[in-house]
Amino acid sequence: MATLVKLVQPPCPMAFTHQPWQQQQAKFGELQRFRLINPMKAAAQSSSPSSVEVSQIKENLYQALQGINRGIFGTTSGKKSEIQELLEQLESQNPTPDPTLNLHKVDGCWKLIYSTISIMGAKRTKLGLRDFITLGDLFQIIDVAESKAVNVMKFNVKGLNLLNGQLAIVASFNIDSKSRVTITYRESTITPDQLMNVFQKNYELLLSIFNPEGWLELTYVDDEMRIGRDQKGNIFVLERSEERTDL
Amino acid sequence: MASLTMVDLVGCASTSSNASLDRYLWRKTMHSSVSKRLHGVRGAGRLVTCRCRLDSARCRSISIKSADTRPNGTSEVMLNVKRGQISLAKVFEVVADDLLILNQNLKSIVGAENPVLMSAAEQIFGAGGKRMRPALVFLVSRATAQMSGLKELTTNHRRLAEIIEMIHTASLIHDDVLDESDLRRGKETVHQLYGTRVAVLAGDFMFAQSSWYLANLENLEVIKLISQVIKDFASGEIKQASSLFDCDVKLEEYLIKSYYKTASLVAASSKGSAIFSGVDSSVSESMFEYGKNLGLSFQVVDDILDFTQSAEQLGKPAGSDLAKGNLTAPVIFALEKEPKLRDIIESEFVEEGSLQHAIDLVQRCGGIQRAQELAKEQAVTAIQNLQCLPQGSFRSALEEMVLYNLERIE
Repeated sequence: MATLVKLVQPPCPMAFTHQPWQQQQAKFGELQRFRLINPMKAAAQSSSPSSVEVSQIKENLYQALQGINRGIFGTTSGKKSEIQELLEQLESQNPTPDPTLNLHKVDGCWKLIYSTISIMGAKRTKLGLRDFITLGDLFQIIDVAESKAVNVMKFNVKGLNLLNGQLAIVASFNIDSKSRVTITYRESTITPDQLMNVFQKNYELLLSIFNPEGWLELTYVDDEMRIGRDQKGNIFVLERSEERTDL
Repeated sequence: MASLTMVDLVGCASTSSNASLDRYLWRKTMHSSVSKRLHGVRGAGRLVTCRCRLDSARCRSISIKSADTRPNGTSEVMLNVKRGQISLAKVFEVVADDLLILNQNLKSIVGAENPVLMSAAEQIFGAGGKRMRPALVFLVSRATAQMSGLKELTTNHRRLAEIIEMIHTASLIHDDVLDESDLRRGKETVHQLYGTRVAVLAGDFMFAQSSWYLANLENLEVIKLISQVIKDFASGEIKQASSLFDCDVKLEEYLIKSYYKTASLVAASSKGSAIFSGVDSSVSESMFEYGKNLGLSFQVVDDILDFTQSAEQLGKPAGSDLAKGNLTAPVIFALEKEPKLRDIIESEFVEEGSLQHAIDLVQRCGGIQRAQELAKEQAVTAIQNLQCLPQGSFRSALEEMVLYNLERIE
């Protein structure tokens, strides 16, 4: 006798139970993130209808971001538009329209979950990011007290030693307006030396991709997520990160 | 009075009136009166319609100008290639016995030590391989042996052929691992059957074994020649991997890469065969050039077929070279004409239908055609390189090899 399983539609839009961050090491070191939100917790934070809406948009965003490796190595134009629209929806609900007057909200460690910067074609081949080197997490650590921002790009090199390293770009920022900063490149380092050897020949190319110089418009800031649009027309979406990065 | 040699190969019907039939080829040496006539039309794109006595089908003619060091100006080599069938078996008929002996020897050389390697050897040396490279060694050997008065092929000749086939096969085994291919010549690949470890070891073993046999030939020139090939194989793969999706790649670089990957082996083995026949170094050099041009022509044809053949064959992915970012002659030519192609390639075909769009662009802006021209130019040069050889069945077979290759794209 077959057992009937009745699917009950919950009252809230989301029906997921709270679980901590889950990471899956997929092929080629791609990290896939599954974010599951406790609807109760989200509702508890603020019971206004817009925050529930925001949670829903974020939910859709995380759904859309699955499996595309932060969009850096190629996404279809359909997917790009989908994400673009979700980001615009979020931006229209921005709880912090004056982030530079509330810099404590951007202070700390953030991890990149999506960007329109792309490393494809000949660039990707030249940097060895095809089969030889994997791009790991990208972090941004903002130090408001020092008006400093450090971008950290993690790499791991496959091969006998499974070398892990990072490129760290240190920049300073000045406030332009209540939502805009100008970033000035200061210095960059690759550690360890073995990784520097690998990138030696294409260092300029690497920097040109990750150099944060120029203005940055902070179009969305809340406790968990931040969206920025830069001078070159790129979009960056980051989430708050608890991870410690050695600088 | 310098006379022009016109290699005129015409496809004709034999006894039956059927349009597409066995090829029949002959060669003519032009009289001086005709040579004057041809000389006068230098610079014109002359087309010659051949009149076949028995066949009513039209033969397509290609007239190609090629630079030559003859004192009376350029020599015109005209190739009339008909969509017919050159059967390789027929071309290799004159060295069929040599190939039989080769097959027997190969299995015993490779498999002796280890039962797993023995099975792997059976797998890869079993039926399916055309044995083109050793056949070329035998043909060049016999053709050049005639010049030096050698009555029979030496052990060195035979060993050289075996070494060449081992090196070629070793590279195929490794290629299949790198490409993750399941099938080779209709049979399962070594790594599919026995795993990657065995495939890597089998390839290594064959490279090592061929090096050992090479050294035992005790001819320093040939040792250097063939060792260079193994080095070139690796260089070619590395060169290719480091220029994936690079739309700035020049034809020159593509030709160098093709040389490393394909032509180097053919060139070295042709030269080696001539060396063992004891002919003049100028003849050996010509044989090297022949092998090089044949090899390059071969690679260009392969690259063309990757675009054109998949349309007819069911289930085969179209443009697999292009999909991987390996930009070959048709694409390089097309990129000169169509800037849109660059963007599509740079996007790594992430958009649905973009690969097919790219293939269409390559065809529409004459990329395939120009690649065909290139293959034909190289073929013409290859045939010219054979001029130092005495006329006969071996030289003819070497010429037919060149034409067999071109027929694949006719």
